[in-house]
Amino acid sequence: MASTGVKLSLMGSVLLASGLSTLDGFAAEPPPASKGFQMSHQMGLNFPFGRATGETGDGLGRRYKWQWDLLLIGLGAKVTENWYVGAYVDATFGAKGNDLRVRTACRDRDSNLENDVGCSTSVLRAGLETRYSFSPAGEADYWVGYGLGPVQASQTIHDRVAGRRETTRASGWEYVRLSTGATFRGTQALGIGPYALFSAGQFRRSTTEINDQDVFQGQIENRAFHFWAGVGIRLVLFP
Amino acid sequence: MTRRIAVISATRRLLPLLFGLLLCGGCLGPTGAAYDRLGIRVTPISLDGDPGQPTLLCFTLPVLLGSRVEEEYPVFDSFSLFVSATRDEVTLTTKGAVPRIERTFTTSELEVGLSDSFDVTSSSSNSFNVDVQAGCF
Repeated sequence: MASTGVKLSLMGSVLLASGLSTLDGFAAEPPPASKGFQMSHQMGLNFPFGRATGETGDGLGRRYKWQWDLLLIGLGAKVTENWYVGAYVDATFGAKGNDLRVRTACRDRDSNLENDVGCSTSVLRAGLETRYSFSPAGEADYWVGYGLGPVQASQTIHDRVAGRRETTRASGWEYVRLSTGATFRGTQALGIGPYALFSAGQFRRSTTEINDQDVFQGQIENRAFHFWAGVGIRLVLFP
Repeated sequence: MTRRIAVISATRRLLPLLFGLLLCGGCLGPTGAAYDRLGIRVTPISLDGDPGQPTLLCFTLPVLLGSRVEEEYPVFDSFSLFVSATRDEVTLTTKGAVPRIERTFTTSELEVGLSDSFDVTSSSSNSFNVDVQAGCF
């Protein structure tokens, strides 16, 4: 036990020393512009706008509330000092939208202190993106990006009393995914900074599952544009 | 003094309410979501007029905005009932029988209560009476 404690404290010292050396680097000149492999992890909030479909009353915000963006990963390479090309995957999670009927259905109306009806929403995305850095060798690198790719948004209501789980997925494409931000390049290995993004897309297909059984799959005939706007923090490996 | 009397008076008024809440804290059983349901009863009609054993179906409308449910219920030979529903309306269509019946009921109609009835004859010349109502039979 004591031996484990010593090992842990040694490891801590090594990590602290490496952290301090990193801080030393932070205080010095900004690192040179990087090329090659780059990875990013973004966390933030996304807010819905526009319409899920062209049907009356089918606003995106009625289906999906604002989303926690917890897992936006970008993997790619800086092909030049200014240009980055890569792919992204994104998973966001949130609560039910502001549709009154769904909110009423999701409300737990008894007093047994158990949530009998659970409701949740999520959005999955993947795609390709490119970014342009205005000052790749600067301490603060400002950038803009464009991406596009498929999107799938889900809503679920799980009635534990009735043993019924209903899930509806709308899938389509995000044709425009514009982003901008700044990366503060403290070290050659790690950068951090704020970002903002705006995406526009259209759902093309819809599926409904009841208790994990497909009960409908089909095209959305009456399509409309939906939008997401988001802000958050972005960590960059090899900025 | 007046304030103290007011506090005591308010406490006395609230006591029955608090007592009721404590008593009822766990007395309500779990309640799930409320659903709109369509009950369908298909009864074979024999030549001598005696109704046969009915087939009972209960269809639950979806809840979520954007959900759609489509289900086909085989009844007899090629005669089946096709039900398609959003959370706003449900459409019942007969297949493999004449006349071809298609009825659409809105959620509002289901909530105030509805009943409908029609007869069809399958392609194998069997006759059926179809009763529809809000809620399960």
